[in-house]
Amino acid sequence: MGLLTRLKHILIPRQPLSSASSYTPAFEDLSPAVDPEMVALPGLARLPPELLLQIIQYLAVESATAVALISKYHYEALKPWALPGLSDAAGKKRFLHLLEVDLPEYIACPCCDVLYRWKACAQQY
Amino acid sequence: MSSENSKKLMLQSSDGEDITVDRDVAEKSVLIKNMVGDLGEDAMEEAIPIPNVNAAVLKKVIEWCTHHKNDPPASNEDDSDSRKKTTDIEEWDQKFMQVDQEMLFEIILAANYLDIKALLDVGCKTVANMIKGKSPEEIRKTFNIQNDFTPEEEDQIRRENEWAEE
Repeated sequence: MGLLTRLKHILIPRQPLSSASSYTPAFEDLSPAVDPEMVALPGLARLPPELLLQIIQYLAVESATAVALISKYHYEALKPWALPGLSDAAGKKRFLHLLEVDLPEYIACPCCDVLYRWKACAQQY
Repeated sequence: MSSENSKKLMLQSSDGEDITVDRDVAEKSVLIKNMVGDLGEDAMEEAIPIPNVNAAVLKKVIEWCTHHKNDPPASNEDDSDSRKKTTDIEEWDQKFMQVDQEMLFEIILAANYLDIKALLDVGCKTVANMIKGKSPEEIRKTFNIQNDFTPEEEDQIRRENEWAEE
């Protein structure tokens, strides 16, 4: 019976505000638009930029840059702080080795510190 | 002086629980210390609202403050240099931080809000240690982060930063 009431409410969405207001929570219950777990829980996904910066201050350049690449939000927040560190050749080398883990089609060249596609250099595979 | 320090304060968590705590423990929080300084004796009589921290997290923070109440305050030199590079965490703090991720980040947010620098440092170091040596995808898996880059956008970032070539 409860479910029927909820469905009715969804099927007739344009109720006047006065009569619709008391049903609003039930309507929201049925909306699966976002993953509530991701929205509700605090975590690295929702940490404010100033706290992300505090965390990366404890990381070497390769790990700080890896964090910057996990999502658009992290890239925007951390790019100016993490990426300049890659001007250090040893740091860039370590970073490319981390990046290589996620990119099986690429291999890091030990001489020029750039990732190259496997296919380009080994067509027989 | 000692009688003043043994006074109790009442903190009220965001979910409405009143928690009694020794004043010197509560004053590990710069926010509370300043509040008590401003309010004077009035602060002893009514519960101090801590609207951003729920009872479970507040109790955990008080546990940390109780253990560390006799620590010397951090000096400014510590702040600028040596503190930043090491991710060493003392054994008691390591055990203290063995909590689920939700609680870990709640503690970090609470330490930031309550202005407890040493606890914030321990929290940030703990997260840093979970990140070290991981690739971006491994970090996403560890922290349940959704990758919202398209493959084309990732490709573009690699190219414009000269990390990859065809």
